[in-house]
Amino acid sequence: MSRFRLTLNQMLFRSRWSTWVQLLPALLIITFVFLIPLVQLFAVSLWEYDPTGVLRATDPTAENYLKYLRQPFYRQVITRTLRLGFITSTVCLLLAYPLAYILARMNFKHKSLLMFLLITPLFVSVVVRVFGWIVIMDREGVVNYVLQALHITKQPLRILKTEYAVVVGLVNVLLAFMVMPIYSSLESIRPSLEEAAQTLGASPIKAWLRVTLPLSIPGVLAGWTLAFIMTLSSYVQPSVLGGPSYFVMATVLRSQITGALNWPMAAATGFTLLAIGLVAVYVPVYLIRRVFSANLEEGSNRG
Amino acid sequence: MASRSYRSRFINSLAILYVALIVIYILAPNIIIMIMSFNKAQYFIFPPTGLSLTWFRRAISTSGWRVAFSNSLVLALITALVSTALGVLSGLALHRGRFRGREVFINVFLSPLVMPQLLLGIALLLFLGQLGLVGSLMPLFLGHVLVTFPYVLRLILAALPGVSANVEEAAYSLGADEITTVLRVTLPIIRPAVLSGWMFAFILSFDNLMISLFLASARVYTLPVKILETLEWEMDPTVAAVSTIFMLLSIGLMLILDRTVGLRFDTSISSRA
Repeated sequence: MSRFRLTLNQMLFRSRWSTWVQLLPALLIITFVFLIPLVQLFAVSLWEYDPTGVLRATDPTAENYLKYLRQPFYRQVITRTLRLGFITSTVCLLLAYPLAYILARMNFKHKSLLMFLLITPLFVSVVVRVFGWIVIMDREGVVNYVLQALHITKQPLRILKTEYAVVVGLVNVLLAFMVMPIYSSLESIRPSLEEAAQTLGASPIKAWLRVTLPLSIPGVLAGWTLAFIMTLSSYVQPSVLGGPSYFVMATVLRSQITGALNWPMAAATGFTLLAIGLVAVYVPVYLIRRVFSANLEEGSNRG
Repeated sequence: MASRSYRSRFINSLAILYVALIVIYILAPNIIIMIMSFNKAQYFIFPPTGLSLTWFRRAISTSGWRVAFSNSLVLALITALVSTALGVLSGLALHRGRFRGREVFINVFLSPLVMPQLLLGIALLLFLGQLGLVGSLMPLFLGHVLVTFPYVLRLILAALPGVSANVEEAAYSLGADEITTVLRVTLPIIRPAVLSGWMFAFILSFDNLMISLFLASARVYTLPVKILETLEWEMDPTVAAVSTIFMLLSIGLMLILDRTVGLRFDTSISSRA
């Protein structure tokens, strides 16, 4: 036992290669469960689809990616995916900003409990929450029951299997992701700045518009981007709440695997999603840097 | 002055109303599921017709749900254990190591967090399928470790700078070897990070859907996968009872985490980004 311990100690900490011995298990996982599978999948995304479903190497072609630009069905899918991303993250933002502002500026008795309730979505499986929305929005669900009981509508409304249902289900999960970055950026802005603007004659709205809002933009962008990316790769809400004909890239990807066995197209769909996500992350970062450095220059010129 | 305080009281109550509405919106689907799981009716009809524990009894006695539950539990336990070990070990190496490309290693190790899990799911299905691994818990385990260990690593890397080198040197000078020092000095100091890393890895694995959806098979599936498939095919109130149990477990874990190491918004959020 003690000899084993000595050898282990020698290997892990005292040998010339000790750092690499410590890194080895993680390196193995990253190499064989991450890098190699991704590289292989990328290669497959450049292959031609064999309608028999057999996966065969062909000459590399960008055809699968170009389908998203050329074929009407895929064009519709990609525009719908992007539109869903814009709608969801904008609705999230409009709901989250006032909430974050209230949480950051007002004193509540049970603030920590509130925060706890707001982040429960992060711990309850998405499947369960979507299931709840089915029960709420179904033909015989809660909303239709209430509407009919109050004699607002006579016939049950079709709420499930529409884009509204998908957005409601997505915002429900993503709101917490949006509130937190805005909350932390608002909390770092001292309320005295806004008060100073008001003392100098600005109306509360103008003070917010000219002082607080610009300073909270980084948090807003961070939250918006996060919600946008998470919407792009969301699968459960579009497939369950959107109905069988509501195709976005994530649901197309899965049906290509389970249905058509079209691996090349599924792979190309996955990498297109990744590329859109990367653009969505880096463009705002780039814009913020430009705007902020321009502001700094302007400020120093004035000074 | 009086009108001003009247106005601010009005604004205050408006703010409270707004927060209350948002909280209701966030909790609504969870509460509805809990209500429906105690409902007597055969279908999901609102309002509930009577109280019954039938669906819980059926959930517990159905072997499919039992298998799904035990698979998820075993998977989450092993994943959390292995991910924490990997995170600690590689965290030590990346924190102390002075080698070229250290930053590159850190970025590559953390990058599974920013990949769409859909993409990782099919990549693993393709690669591990060729190796003949699909059809057991193995590919699920590998996939879950891949998406949870970077999270542990990040927590460890954030905590390690707080360990003073003096303390470790004191241990060495008193005759402790490196393993003893890590186990008896370093790890106890970063215990909150290790603990929350373990628990987050557990919860992330227990809840994981996207990786499991691709790597599960007809015989080997997890709880979220089984719930989703039930929603897509046959809706039966048993799934409400299962979901209630699942939900209460997740919230219980979250409460434990909150009490033991404290929940921080930023950490819990970035784990799912």
